[in-house]
Amino acid sequence: MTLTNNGEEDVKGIDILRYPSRADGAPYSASGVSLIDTKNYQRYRPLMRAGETDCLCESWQGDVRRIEAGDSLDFWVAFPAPPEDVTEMTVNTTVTPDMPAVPISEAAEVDQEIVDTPVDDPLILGLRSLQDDLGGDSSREETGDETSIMLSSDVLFEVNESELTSDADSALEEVAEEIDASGTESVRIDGYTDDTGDDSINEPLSEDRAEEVRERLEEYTESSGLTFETAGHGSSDPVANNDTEEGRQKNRRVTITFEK
Amino acid sequence: MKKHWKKTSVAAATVLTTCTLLPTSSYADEAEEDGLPVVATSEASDTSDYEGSKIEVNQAQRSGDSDYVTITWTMTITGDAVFEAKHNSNNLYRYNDRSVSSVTVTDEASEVRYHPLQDTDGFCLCTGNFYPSNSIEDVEEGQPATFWNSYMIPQETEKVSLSVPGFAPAKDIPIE
Repeated sequence: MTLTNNGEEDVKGIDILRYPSRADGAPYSASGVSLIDTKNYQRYRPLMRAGETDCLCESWQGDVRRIEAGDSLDFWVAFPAPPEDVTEMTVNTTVTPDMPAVPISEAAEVDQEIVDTPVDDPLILGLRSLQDDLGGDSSREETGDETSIMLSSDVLFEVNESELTSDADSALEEVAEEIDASGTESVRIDGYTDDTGDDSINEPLSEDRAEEVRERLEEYTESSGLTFETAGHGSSDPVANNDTEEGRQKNRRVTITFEK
Repeated sequence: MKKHWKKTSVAAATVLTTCTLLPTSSYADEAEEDGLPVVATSEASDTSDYEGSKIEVNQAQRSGDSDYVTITWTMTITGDAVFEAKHNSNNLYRYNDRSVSSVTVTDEASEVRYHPLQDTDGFCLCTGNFYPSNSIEDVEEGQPATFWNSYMIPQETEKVSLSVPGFAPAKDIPIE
């Protein structure tokens, strides 16, 4: 890569591309550059030198104090190779909007010193997207391989009850259609509450609610051989902030998760 | 593997030119000021501290044939208010950051609101998890600042609106 200072003022070059120090980002390097696999929703962090806190990337050990206006800096960063069918990746840096769909090519010549450097296990992070249905009360979490539909307990149940309301039917019918369309073989159903009240009540309540949703989804889905797994979690694993009413409402939920 | 320094012209820059924002003909006039195109604009809501200030959306760019969309926008403050980027984290969902993760996108047609992507460390894919020395963290009068956020938006969605807290939604943003 080449970083060019197109501005009129000099910039401090020393940490411009650094991963944040609070997340153990190695200084004096481009440790904050990552590659996004937009097909599989993964973020590739730079390879780390085995047993060290430095990335396998150009190190400018304190000698790049400033990048003067008009100057540029060439540097390299090594990443784990993506699967063969990933032919382009999006480049993400600390100081630019993402650079989309950069093609992956074969190197004209291999730098043996880089290839032979021992490295730690690759750091490949998943990405997730949180989405709210503004027409209803549901939300969803999408990752590269799973969909989680979060249905509001306020719609599915009366307060402190685990019997489904009549309003629950249309929401669960839509979920069942989506499960059938996905071609998945297994469905996970998790019940959660907000952080108000007592966990000795919240935990069995969330479990009973998950079980109730399972019964109804088993009835509504048409795919054969589907297996269902249920669990109640009480107030643990909140998806949203419990400090606001909107957040608590998001946390009172039954989540239905299946593979894409 | 040594460092290479060189004087370059803008044309010689390699990778960074990939993200250069090219003015489109219909917005060329507005783009002249700072070199960025403007595809949508919104003003601060009357009740917010930023009254008189504006958001200009520079670009909504899809990565190839994927759902990954990066939106770049510029805030210009008029008046005494200060927009503190690191205090604008998402206040609904949990993000591990001091970024502008509160900025959401809405597809008006399907009535879906998208929050910025986050990785499994909870970091938002947007400006501000990282504040290198020259970053503008506080936007004040006379010093506009450009930010970006990335979202997962289905490929059939061609137009969205962008909501920054304190500002009216910037509507009808075409996704390139």
